[in-house]
Amino acid sequence: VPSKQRRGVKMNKFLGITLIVIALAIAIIPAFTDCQSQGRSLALANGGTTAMKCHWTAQAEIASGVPLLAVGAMMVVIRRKKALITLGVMGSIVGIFTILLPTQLIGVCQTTMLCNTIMKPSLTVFGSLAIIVSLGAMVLARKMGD
Amino acid sequence: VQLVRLALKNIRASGFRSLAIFLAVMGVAGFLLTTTLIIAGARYSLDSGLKRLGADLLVVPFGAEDKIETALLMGKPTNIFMPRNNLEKLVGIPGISAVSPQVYLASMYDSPCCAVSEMFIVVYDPATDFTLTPWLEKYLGRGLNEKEVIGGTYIFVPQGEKYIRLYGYDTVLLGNLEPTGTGIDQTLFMTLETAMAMAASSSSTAMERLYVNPDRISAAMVKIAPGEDAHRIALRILKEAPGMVPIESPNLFGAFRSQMNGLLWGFLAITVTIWIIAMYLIGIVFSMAANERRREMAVLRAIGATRNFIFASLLTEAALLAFGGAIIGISSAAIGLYLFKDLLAGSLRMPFLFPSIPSFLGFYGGGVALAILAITLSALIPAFRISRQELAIAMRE
Repeated sequence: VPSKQRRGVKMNKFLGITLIVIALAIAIIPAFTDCQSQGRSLALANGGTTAMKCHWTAQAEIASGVPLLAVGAMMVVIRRKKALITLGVMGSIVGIFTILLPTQLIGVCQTTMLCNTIMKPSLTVFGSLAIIVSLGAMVLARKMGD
Repeated sequence: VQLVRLALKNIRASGFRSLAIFLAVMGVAGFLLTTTLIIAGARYSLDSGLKRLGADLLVVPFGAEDKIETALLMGKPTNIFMPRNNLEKLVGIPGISAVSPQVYLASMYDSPCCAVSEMFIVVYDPATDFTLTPWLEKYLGRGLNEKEVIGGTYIFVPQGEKYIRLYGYDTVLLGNLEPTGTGIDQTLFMTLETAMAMAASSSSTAMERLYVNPDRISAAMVKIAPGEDAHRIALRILKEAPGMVPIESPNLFGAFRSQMNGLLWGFLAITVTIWIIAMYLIGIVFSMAANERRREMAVLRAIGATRNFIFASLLTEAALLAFGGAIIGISSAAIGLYLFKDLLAGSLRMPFLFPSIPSFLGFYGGGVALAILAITLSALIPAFRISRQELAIAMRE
């Protein structure tokens, strides 16, 4: 049993580091693929400009990436079964919101724009990976002893 | 069940070797499906475009063949026209049952009513049209009136608005055509009546005036009478209607098709080479593993396992690895391709439409079956050798 426990802790450390990498990708990629980063903005009737909606998605993804980063970091240091399960649940929820922000909640711009061709699919992939890794961590934690 | 359990235990026991084979199958199967889906998606898109076009022949002004093809494929406008009375010459040719003009009027850039940066406006003649009218009759039960338009799948009414405003003229979007992956998706269709009204309005409502000359057309859609040969009619048009060039529907987008075929053969050659190399390497890995496991297999024989059981267990091990690798590789490739399809179509500059579910499932099943077959074949010789070894010699080693 102790060796099983050790293997579980080691694996959760690995999953925690993976979550940190995913979180960084979620927070950073949108900043370089939204329309604002490409010099595009909406022209207003008064002659001014305002950011397109993909920019707000990119901003919101920072708020998604940072908690996921914290979840990953905690997964690396924490060894308690219940805490690891809780972290897995939190990671999954953040992963779901990472996908929902560009697809349902805020959205991105037009078909050929970078935010639609790169940002949205990348966030969908990384969000899905965050969910898979978090669920994996939960399953591993359940197998561990207290 | 016993066979599968033994194979699974063997896979778990030799983790690194199994992982290497699994990853190799995953990579090769994923690459195979990606290339196949790209080519199939481009073909599906072209076929959908041609079906939507619905004409047997497209007659265009002499010298404008490529430009008209680009107009239809990518939604780019042309400024090459021919006189409208050319239609009369076409109607007079025996074997032609219907002729209808189309005018590729203008392109709107960064229009708020189009999901892509360029929107293409096409004018058709409802009195003679046989391409859009059947669709309109089916879905609307009538044709288009003045101010009414129909759009490709990327056309929409801007949020909070009731109309699509073009040159300061309000039009009503009555519906959207099915996606084709070609320029038709970003095209807005209207009648000549609407185009004339829009042009008249543009002098006072738009920053840039729109000119519509009802005596000029961009192309003529031609329908051949039943039983007639399209190629023969095309030759007749070339002979009897100077200044016009017929493009047979299957030959439409010919330059693109030949480019795509080149791509297909290139991809196919790369894929076959990779498969052969992967099969050879996996065969070597299995041979090495078989040599390592001679004693293990001899013990199995000694406790009563038959030669066929050992042979089958090794093949099952290979098939299970191939199955797992192919499922993961092909699924990841399909998801990646689906998510990044717009990026792919944009960077390859080709039309792309994700294949229909039945054909996708066909590709998926084919890919998995091919992977299992190829990897099982790779393991065939090592499995045969190890199952036929002499028990006493193997035990002594």
